[in-house]
Amino acid sequence: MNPPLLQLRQLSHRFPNGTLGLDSVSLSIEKGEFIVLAGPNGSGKTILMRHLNGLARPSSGEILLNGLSVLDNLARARRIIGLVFQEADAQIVGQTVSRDAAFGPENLKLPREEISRRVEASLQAAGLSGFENRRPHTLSGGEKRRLAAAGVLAMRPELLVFDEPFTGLDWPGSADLIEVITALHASGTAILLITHDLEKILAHAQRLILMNKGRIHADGPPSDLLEQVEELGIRRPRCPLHEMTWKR
Amino acid sequence: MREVDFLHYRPGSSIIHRHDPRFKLLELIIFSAVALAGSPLSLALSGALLAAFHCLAGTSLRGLRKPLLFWLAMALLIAGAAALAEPEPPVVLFGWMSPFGITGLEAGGLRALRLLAVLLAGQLLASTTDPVELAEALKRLLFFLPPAWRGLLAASIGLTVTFIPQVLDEAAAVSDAALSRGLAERRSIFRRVLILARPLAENTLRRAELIADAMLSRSFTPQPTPLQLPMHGRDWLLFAVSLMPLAAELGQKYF
Repeated sequence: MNPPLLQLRQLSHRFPNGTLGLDSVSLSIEKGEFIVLAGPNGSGKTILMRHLNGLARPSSGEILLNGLSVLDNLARARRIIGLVFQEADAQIVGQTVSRDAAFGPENLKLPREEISRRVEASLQAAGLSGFENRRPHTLSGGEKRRLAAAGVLAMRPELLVFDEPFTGLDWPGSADLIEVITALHASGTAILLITHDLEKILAHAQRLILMNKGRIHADGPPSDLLEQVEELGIRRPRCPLHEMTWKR
Repeated sequence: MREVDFLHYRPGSSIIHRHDPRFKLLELIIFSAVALAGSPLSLALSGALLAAFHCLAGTSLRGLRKPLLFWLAMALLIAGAAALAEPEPPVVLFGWMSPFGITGLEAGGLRALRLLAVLLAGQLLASTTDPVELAEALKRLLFFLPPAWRGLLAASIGLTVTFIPQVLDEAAAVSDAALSRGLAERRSIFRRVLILARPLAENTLRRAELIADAMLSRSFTPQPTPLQLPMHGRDWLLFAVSLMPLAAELGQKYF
């Protein structure tokens, strides 16, 4: 049997001040899954994300990517697991849209022709075709978020992790981003989306993971866990599950 | 995000934008050397060429507003200081004998013009060259250094240029927040700066950490796929034109 795409075993992280950020977290993510991870502020969602491709080191436990430790081959982990951070501005390093999208493939030392192909494909997937020569800082909030996703997509990840992707986005910006995310999932990319805004995306998720105080509080189909979300201070949307989307 | 137009890249497709960055770096050195040490004639030629190159690059006057304002402030300081240092013969205005000297004023004015030429040359390079291309050009021109040093140098330049608008944005956000809470009521400028400095430093460091994380998660390496920098006939032509001030200077000196 093939190992899961990503497996976390008894992962714990203690901050330098002694606070426990993650407490024996175990979970696995299969190829092509769509998971929403929710939890109150300070529940450990973002520090969990930073462990997935080795940006943070666990105090104990291990992370396996296709059965192999992430920490043994960080370059491989960073190619397979793409992180889209909450602050898109901090993720954009190129002086033009196409240069930014090329940053990851250039770091992978791919040939120039392949880089061009990937940049074109990723910008198209993110709905940014025609923006190639724009300065990233002139883009709207939603466009920047999609550029951040395109920059990661150009590395052809198997798992794409979004940290609070809807923060600060208006309805059209969120709807465009959801369009991109669901299209990526339909093309086979596994999605792990960290958010409080369940009403914007939960209809598309196959799994909901609830975190609290650094631990996995619950993990299962969204329909089974919706009743529990308010215990954790997350607003439960007042609509049926299939309507929990801002997709147009 | 704040738009930065001083010494900052603005994408374009002009002949100057497409000019090989290795030549642009060499031209910056030539223009600067002639501007700083050349005769007034070579300086004038450099100035005329720089103005023409800025026109070709499509530089707007608005784009030059900040460098020109900076230059104006510096020019006043330089010319004023030189005119005070050499008070003879004095400048006489409507019968009033000022403490400024004409000779000093002329010398200071020339120095200020030299500074203007250097600023225009720097602005031309920075506004028409993507930092990634600039870094690649530096890497190739510094071929005699070990590859790891060249990679680090190139990465440092690219990152610095990327980080400038982010720091300015952070500074504006911190300043706006403080002003909205009555910072302007504080009399001491020193206290005001101190109040702004701490949150600015903290936020800048936090942002630097975020950028570092984002770059690492995209497999950052100082030795990425090298850029292709093909040379064309127009690059040699522009370079030849750029050599004119240097040729004029050498011609005056030796013939």
